[in-house]
Amino acid sequence: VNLGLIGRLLDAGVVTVEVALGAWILGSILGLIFAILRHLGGLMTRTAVSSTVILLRAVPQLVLLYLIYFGLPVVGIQLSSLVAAIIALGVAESAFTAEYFRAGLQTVAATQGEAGESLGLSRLRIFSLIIAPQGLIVAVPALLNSLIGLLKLATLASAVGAPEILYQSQIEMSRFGNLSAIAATVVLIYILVTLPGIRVVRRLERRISRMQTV
Amino acid sequence: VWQTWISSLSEGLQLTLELTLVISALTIALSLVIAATSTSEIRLVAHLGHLYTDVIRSVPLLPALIFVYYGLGGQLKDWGINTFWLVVVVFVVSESSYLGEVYRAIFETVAAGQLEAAKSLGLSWLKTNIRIVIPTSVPALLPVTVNGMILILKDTSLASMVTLPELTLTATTTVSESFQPLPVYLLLAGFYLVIVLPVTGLSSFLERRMQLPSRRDRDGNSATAVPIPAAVALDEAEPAGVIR
Repeated sequence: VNLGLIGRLLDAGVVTVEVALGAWILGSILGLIFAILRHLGGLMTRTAVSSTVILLRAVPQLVLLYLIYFGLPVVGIQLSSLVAAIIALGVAESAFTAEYFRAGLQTVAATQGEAGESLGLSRLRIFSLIIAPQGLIVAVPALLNSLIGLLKLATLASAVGAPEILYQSQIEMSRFGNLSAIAATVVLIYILVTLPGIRVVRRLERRISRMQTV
Repeated sequence: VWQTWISSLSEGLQLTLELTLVISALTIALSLVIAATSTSEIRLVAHLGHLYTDVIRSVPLLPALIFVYYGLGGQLKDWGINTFWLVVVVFVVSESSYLGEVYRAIFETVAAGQLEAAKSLGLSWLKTNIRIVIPTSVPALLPVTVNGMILILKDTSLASMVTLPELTLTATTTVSESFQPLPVYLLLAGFYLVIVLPVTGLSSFLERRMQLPSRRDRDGNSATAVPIPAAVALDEAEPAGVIR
């Protein structure tokens, strides 16, 4: 067991977590904004939002990353590899989180909104008092899944030289050539972090869907 | 200039499409097998199926590709296995752990009432799956499969990191010759849009078609699809693979 190697890979793993968390926060906020606009906006807003979501979902994350990191400097916007990765992954993820929030909001029965109307509540208050609290909680497991997914997607940041875990492994590979030890360590780190995550989220998912059927 | 860019990207596109089709076909087959383990009488088989997908899903695709390529690529080349097939194998193993998981959820719901009936008819596990579970699952399987194929197509851009000259690598090569990253990468995004958008349309059409009319809500939106669990209904919003 090469403790030095494990230490250096774990250090780089911290950067991976930073990229994933940053992208997750950005993606969740953008996704929530998309979902709210879609829920409350007029026809124009809704069409604009759904077109954006469809476009974002069609382009690979890697391509988005190249566009932001290599393309934007042409128009004078120079970002560090770390920031570029956070923005690319976060923007790409927002297209998915928007759908989670939307699916969550749709689980609230239409009759509840009608009940609110009959009480004379405004559309905004119906949304914020009745629909949102019930609907958004349904999206929680999917959001946690998206965080787990981003921990894995964060390895794409190595493509633009961000010093995360895969980038560090490639440096180690070219320096020491002990590929099997590096690969085993990285895979093991991921299994130790992700596998329990997957199981916890699955249990939470079941609990929330049971809560709904009651 | 655009003309030459478009024609060089088109060459890459061809490889991207080949990759996508081969990977999709094999992934669908393997996913059906994985999902079928969940209806097995032997609990150990079902558990092993589950453990397999959970472990594989924990490992990100890009490191897997890079480690296999640099670790085994040379060795495999001696055995006559080129980079294309190496990429295909790594992709199929990885993607089937997502699609298999989605299939499994569908199988479990569809099979719930029918397993007993099949058992009382004395059908074997294989026959139960081939004759009953798979055919009755088709309406629910179609849209998630199309979504899964879109994800596979997008993921094939990662093959550029192991020197396979598909669409994304072709664009990168074009950039290094022309020093025009912005227009070339925009063109690249446009290429992906042009292929993916019609398929997205097909998938939402299928989703609507496969839905029971009474389950549509007033706006005709897809509130709930064919009787499949909430977890899967969410998955359709986020295609095949809760965890990417």
